[in-house]
Amino acid sequence: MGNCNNVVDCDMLLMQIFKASFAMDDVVLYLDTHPCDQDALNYYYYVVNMRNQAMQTYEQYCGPLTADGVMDENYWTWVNDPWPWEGVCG
Amino acid sequence: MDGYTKQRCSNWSSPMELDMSVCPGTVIRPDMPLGSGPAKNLKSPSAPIPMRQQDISRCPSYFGSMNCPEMPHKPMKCPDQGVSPAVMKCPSQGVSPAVTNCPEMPPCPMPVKCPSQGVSPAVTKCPEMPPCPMPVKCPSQGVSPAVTKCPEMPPCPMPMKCPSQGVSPAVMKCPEMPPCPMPVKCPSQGVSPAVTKSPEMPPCRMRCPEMPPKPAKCPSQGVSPAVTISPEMPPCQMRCPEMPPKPAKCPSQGVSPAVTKCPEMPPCPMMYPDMPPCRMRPNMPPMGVAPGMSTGAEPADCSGAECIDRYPVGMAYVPWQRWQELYSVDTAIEMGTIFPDLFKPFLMGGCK
Repeated sequence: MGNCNNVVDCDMLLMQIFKASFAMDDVVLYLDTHPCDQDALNYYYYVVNMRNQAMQTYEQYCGPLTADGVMDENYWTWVNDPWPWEGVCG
Repeated sequence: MDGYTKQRCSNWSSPMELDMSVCPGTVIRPDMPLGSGPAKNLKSPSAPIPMRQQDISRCPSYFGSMNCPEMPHKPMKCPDQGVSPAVMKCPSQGVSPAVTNCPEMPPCPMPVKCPSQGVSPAVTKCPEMPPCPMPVKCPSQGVSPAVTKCPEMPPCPMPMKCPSQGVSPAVMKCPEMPPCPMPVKCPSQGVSPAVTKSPEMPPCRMRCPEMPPKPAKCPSQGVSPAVTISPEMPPCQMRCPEMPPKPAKCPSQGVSPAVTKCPEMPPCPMMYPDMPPCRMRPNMPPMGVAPGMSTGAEPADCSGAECIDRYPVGMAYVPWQRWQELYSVDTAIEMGTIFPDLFKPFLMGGCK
């Protein structure tokens, strides 16, 4: 199971991912009607970068967020993370 | 049947697949209106049309297939034939026997005339009884079996009794009897056509050959034109007279009025003092500009939400969103939006 010993860090990282993802979705809605708004574009890249960094850190220390985030070539670490019905680390 | 034509039920077919083309039946002269009386011989109008023995034998079901199961078989003797085929009735029941179901033997010939008419009532006469008349009633059923088939004509369901005789005068009609209680009259004659139904026979549909289409009411008469449908008749399409076309637009107004008379239209009620005149569209802002925003096109005394009454009703406007200060990502997920101007919390409490 990844690095679930450091539960707090993983939870914080995951929450940061949620926040950045929400901000990204909201600015995407705005950009759909304001495609030329440079301020919105800047904010979009800002939150996307924030999200990518949070995801990268989480997958590095906590485990894969998606199936393509498995980095171990010798073990399928996807099964180490708790499943949704187990209610751990998430 | 010389000089006569058979009346056919146009849409009726024999359920027993009989050759009904030679079956005897009531004949109606083409020049005789329906319901005017029994068919008459052209040469002697007072005498009914004789029925031939071969017609009876070829169409056994013509005289009915009704059985009275509870009735005892009391064959009646006919002098010439031995045993009469009567199975339906007994003389003791006060009704003459019948000829309906005697498959093994030829039926007694039919009486041509009622005795009171001074003509020999039958070809072969049974002295003790009226010769092979039609059964009037089945005692167990209480209803007359009647003539069961109506191959080519609307049958007389019950050629019952000649009033002067008191006995059943057989299948042939009594002169005084009305020919058929069929739909004798068409709407033009005062009675709407109908389908007469008898429990013993398939319904013979009477069709008024040349019924004028029933006029439906036109809008001017208070009812919208419609197709009148009758079960026996094809629908009659009613055409209303030419209606003047409704003017689509009043030229002076440029907008289609609700009523046809443009000049008489009442003036639009002014709900608000500063409301634009009726059907006049206010100056709309250019595309991409919210109505409440200043574009320079609206009057100088109108700015912002104060101009909301100047816009047509029934239309929804969403002010154009502009980029402004945002919530932080930590706050935005709690507020539900990154835009503070879209933060619209639900205020509980209802109307006060």
